[in-house]
Amino acid sequence: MIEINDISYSYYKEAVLEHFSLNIKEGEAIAICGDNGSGKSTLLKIINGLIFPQNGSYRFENIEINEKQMEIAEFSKQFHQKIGFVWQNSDTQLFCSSVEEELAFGPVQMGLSEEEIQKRVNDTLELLDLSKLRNRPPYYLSGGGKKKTAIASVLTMNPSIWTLDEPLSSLDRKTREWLIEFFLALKKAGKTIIFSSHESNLVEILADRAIVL
Amino acid sequence: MLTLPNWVCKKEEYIAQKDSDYFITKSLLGIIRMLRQLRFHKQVKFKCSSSVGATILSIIIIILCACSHKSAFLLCISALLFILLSILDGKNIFRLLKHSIAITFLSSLVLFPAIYFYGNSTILLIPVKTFLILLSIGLLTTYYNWHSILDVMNKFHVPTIIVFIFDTTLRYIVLLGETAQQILYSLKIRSIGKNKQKSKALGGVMGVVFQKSKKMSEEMFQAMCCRCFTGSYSNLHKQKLTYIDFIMFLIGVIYCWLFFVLERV
Amino acid sequence: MHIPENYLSPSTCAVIGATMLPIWGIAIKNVKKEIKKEKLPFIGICAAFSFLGMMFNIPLPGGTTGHAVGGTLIAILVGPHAACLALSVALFIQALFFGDGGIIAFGANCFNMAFLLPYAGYYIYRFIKDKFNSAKGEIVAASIGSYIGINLAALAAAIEFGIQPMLFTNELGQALYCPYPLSVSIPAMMIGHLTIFGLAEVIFTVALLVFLKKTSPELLRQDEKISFKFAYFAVIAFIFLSPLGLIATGTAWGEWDPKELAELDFMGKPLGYIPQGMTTGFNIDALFPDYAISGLPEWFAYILSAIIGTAILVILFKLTSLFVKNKQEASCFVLC
Repeated sequence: MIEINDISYSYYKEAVLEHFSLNIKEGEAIAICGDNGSGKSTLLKIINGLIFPQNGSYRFENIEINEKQMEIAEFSKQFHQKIGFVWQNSDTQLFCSSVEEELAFGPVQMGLSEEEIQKRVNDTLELLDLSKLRNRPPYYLSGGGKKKTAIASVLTMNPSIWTLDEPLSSLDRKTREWLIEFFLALKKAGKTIIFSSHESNLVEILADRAIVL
Repeated sequence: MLTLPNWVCKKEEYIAQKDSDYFITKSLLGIIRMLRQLRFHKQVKFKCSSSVGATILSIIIIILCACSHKSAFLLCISALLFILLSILDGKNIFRLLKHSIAITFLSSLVLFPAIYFYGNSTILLIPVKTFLILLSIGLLTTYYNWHSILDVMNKFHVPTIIVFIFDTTLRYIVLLGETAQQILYSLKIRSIGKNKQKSKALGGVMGVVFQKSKKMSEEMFQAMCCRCFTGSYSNLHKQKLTYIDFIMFLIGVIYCWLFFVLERV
Repeated sequence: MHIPENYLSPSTCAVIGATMLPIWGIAIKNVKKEIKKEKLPFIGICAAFSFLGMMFNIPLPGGTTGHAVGGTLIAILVGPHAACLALSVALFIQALFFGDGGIIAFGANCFNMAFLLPYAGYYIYRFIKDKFNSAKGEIVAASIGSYIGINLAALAAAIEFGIQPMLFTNELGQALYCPYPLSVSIPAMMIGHLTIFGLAEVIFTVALLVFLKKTSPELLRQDEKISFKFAYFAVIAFIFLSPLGLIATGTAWGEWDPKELAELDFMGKPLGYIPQGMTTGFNIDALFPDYAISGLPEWFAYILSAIIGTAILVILFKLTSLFVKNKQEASCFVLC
């Protein structure tokens, strides 16, 4: 499904990825490990079509993803629906004025019916135990609450591939355990999961294979 | 084991609709370009010399250029600027020329009708002057990083408060710019269909940036308190005048003289 | 709206720059009084914020985009004095590092965008908000304030452009700087600002204000009572200064229909607080048909019309607010 072939990427002459290749099949769970600054976040951004490799090619479902392809509005929307991204810093992922709106943002754009949207939002709120925070502005939630809201807002779009950048960093134990369980359920439901992590625990439990950068 | 709702387990059948949300891409591109440009300014080129002479020379050149109405004098200025430009490496030369020429072109496009309507050909000097002024500012900011340019303000006894505000602004443009960039990215990848409330999304992006800036300013003040901030702000690395500064002053004087000679004719 | 290099004569820039000096002085004094001195980082961060705001593309109806200055918004968020300083810093950085707006024209750009825009926008916002005193009224006030603010700034820039060919020419009578007279510069600037850029400014201001009101009302400035004494004084001063425009434009007087110019130059500039729509609605001709024959000196006619115009506007506002207090819902309809 995802074919990355011999890509390189550098920031201001400093190479972060060099001659890197990776193939991911549907339903796989892949862990990306590596030191700080080894290009984990860069790789996830490339997979999400936010930045483009300077050399090599990235193909998604046999379509080459490059700047030109992503300029086609319909294609890029379709592409972003299929791949969900949970950022390392939740602050920069949330921009609506309440948790409920944040969750409804994706489904509303997809043009789902009113009932379907309500159902999705309610299901997700309940599943992630966010019902109490429903009308709160996301910016003022605790770290764990923000992370959960960010994940919930991706869940309502129901992407088939999840990319997560350091999903467990700076969370308390209870939230961590809950999230691991959630990721396992996603995996069981047949979703592809690509995540970067320093936690050997999470890598062992969740990943089918691990890639060290 | 956690049970997911039914609709999560199904594969989403979704065909995207068309929507013009070009404002996200456009804003993103603008911010990315701006951040890249500011990073360029961080590069220190000539560490040995202070920027006082160069800044004063630039101010003199800009003022003389703006006051000049004779092509002879403008030619003298372009000689100086082109020499300075030619010392730079190719990448910087391209960047500077691209920027100045683009704005100059726009300016001449605006002025073009005037030649027909008013039969005024002296107006053609304006784009030339614009080009020279932009080039000289570009040269100044390429040769020296912004910290050393702001340092010149200290030399002129501009209140430290103002220097401090400028310094903070430049630092936080980068920090807040990066935040805005991330939120816009996130808005972009979650804009997967038709958004009827675009301005609301925009309000969210800028709203979060504002909340963040308010929080940052409070934290910065607290951090300053923790490090014994007493209300005055002084700069450590005071620049000493070097021989290069005096050469710059000398060039400035020569150009003043040239101006009086050439413009009088 | 950034005035580029060489469009204004250096002397014009010097004069406008000099007028900015006391304005900055007053702003610094007031900021020191309002915000505790130690909270200085706030101004710098506000400047960074307004700089970023100017980079944003605002989605407009029909899929197009436009830029906003966001001056009124910053003034509402942090107060007009702090906004003046923050916008000045942002403009300086734009001029120095990005070539947006001239270095020599920096004072003029500050006058338009860091002085006229935030102060006018803010005082209009406060004036209307205090009259209505409701959540909806506040949004309406902000949109009217920002709309007039940006248009006032654009008009000022247009006038600065337009007086150049009258004042600065060479021996052959050719313009040395901006070659377009008021009759060209005002429509050229105003058409864009009355439509696209005005709308972008309103959308930007309202969208952010609505978001912040909903998510973090405590971040919004707790407004202390302000007196409009200064604003009233400014309006009165402008009324009596309006004949000065006559002298300034005297050289080119014969070129255009004086009535057209009067409406643009004298009704727009001195009564900066008048919405554009209302100005055109109030027709000088209707009140003073053929005033040249009536024996009144021109300058007196202008002062008179300015006074009457201002009075009518105040009356209109008071009537509207009376009406709106009774019928909250109608407020949007009447004012938009």
